[in-house]
Amino acid sequence: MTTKQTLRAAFPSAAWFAALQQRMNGETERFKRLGFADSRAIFIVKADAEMQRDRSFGVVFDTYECTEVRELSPADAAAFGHDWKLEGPYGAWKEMIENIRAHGAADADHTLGRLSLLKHPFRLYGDDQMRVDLFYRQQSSFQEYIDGAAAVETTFSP
Amino acid sequence: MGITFPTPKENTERLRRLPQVRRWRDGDYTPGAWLTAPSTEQGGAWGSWGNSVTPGRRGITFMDVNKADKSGVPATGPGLTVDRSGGAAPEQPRYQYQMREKYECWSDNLESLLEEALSRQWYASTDIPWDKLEPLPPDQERALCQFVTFLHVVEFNPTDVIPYWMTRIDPAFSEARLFLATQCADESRHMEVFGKRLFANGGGPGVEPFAHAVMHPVPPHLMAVPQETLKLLQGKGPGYEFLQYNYQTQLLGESLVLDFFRFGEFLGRNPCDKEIFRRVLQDEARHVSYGTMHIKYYLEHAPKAERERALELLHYLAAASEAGGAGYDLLLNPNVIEPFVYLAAGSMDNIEQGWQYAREFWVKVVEEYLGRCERAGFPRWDTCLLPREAPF
Repeated sequence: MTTKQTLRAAFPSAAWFAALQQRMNGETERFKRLGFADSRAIFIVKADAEMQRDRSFGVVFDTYECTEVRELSPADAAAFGHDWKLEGPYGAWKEMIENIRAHGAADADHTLGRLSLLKHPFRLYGDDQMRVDLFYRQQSSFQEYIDGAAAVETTFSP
Repeated sequence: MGITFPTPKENTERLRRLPQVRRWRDGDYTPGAWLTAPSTEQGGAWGSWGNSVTPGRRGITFMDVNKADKSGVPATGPGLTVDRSGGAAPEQPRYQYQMREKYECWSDNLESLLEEALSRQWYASTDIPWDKLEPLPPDQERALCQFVTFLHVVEFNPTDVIPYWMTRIDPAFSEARLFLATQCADESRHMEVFGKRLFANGGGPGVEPFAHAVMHPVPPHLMAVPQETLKLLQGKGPGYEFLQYNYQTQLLGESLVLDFFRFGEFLGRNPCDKEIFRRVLQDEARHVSYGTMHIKYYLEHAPKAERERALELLHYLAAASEAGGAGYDLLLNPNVIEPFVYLAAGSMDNIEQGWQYAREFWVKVVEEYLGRCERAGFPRWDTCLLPREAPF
C-alpha cells in the first residue's frame, strides 16, 4: 500500500522534479500498466519576463521508475546524453503546473503532447529523431510523471 | 467424394502398427536421441546447452536471452523452425524461406522495440476512459468522426500486408516475426478503438476518404510506383520488396499517421479522446522506429552491389512519394485535412486559425520525415521534393 504524504517543493528546482520522481516510484503498479519507459530526458525551463536565466533538469526513466533527477549546468547538459529535450518558458511551465494542480491531471489544453506539437509554447527536440521518437513511444508514462504535479504543493520561485 | 476414410477400428490398428507405438507396446521405453544426443558444439543433433539467464527488473527479456546465447544471431537463417540455437539431424529437411538473410529483416533496436511493444500493449475496451467522453457540438463531432473515419481506413493497409512478410522471414529471426505480430495486434486494436469511437458519442462513420478525393493536380504518372522503380525491384526477391515496404509504409506512411495521431491528441477535448490518441501514437512510433532502423541496417549490412541498388531505389521511391504519388497526398486530401482543420479551429468563425495550425503541422511533419530519412541512411535534406512550407 502506498503511504500518501504531502509533497512540497519550489519550482523550478531539482527538488520539484524529485518530488515527481518520489510519486512515480511510489506508484509502480500504475506505471507497470503503461509499460516500459526508458529515456534520458532534459526538461528546460526557459527564462522569460518572470525568470532571469534558463534552468535545465536531467531526468532518467528506467523500466517503470524514475532513477535520477538533477539540475544540469550547460556543461552537464552537454554530457548528459539526452534522448530528448522538452523546453518551454517559465510562464508556460507555471500555467501547466497550476492547471494540473487544479484538475488533478492536465486538462485538454495542457498535456505535453498538446503543448509541444507545434513547437509553442513548448518545444520537443533532440539530436537524433529516433531518440526524440522515444517521447512519442512512451508518452503516457511521461504525461503520468508530469501529472504527478497534482500531488505536489508547489511554490513558484523563479 | 472419391475418398474412403478408415473406420475407427482400422485407424486404431494403423496407429498400433507405427514402429514407435509397437516398441512402447512391447515395453521398450528407451528414450530417443533427444535425451542422449550430444550438443551441436560436440557434433550432435541436440541444440545449445548450458545457457542460463538471471531475471532482471523486467523479467527475462530478448536482450537478456540473446546476450546469454553463445551462438548469437546468424547472418543467414538455417531454414528450420526450431529456435536458432536448436539442433537438427543432418538429414532434417531445410525450408527455403524467402528472407533468409539477417539484413533483410533486422534492426539494431529490434529486441528492445519488441520488449517495449509487448510491455505497452493495451485494451481498447477498458484502458480508454470511455466514461469521460463528453458530448461535442454536432459539427465538431462530425468533424472528429470524419477524421477518425480516415484513421480507421488507413489501419487496414498494414494488417493486410504484414502477415505476407512474416511468413517469408526465416524463423531464425523470430524477433522480426514477433515484432511484426505485435504491429498487427497494434493496427487491429487501432481499428477497434477508432471503430468504437465512431459509434460512442452520437456520431458515426463518415465519408470514404480516398476515392476520387485527391484534389491536387498530381501528374498521373506519379500516382503509382513508377515503371523505373518496378524494374529495380524485378527479380530481387522479398527482402528487397520488404525494404520498399519499410520505406513506403513503415517510415513514410506510419510516420505520417503518427503525426496525425499526435495532432489527434492535440485536438482531443476530453480525457477519452486524449487517451485514445496518446495510446495509438505510442504504438505507431514503434512501427516508425522499426521501419527506419531496418532500412539503416539493410543499407549497412547488405552486400555492396545490393546496397547501392537499394539506395537508388529508396531515393527513387522517396522522390515519387514526395512528388505526391503516395503518402503525402493525404495532407492535401479534403476528406482528411478539412475536418482536421475544422477541429483545430473549433468553428467556421475561427477557420483561418485552423489552417494556420495545419500549416505549422506541415512544417513539422516534413522536418521529422527528413530527420528519419537521414537516420535511415538516405538523407534527403537537399533533394526532398516536398515543400518545406505548406502549399495552402
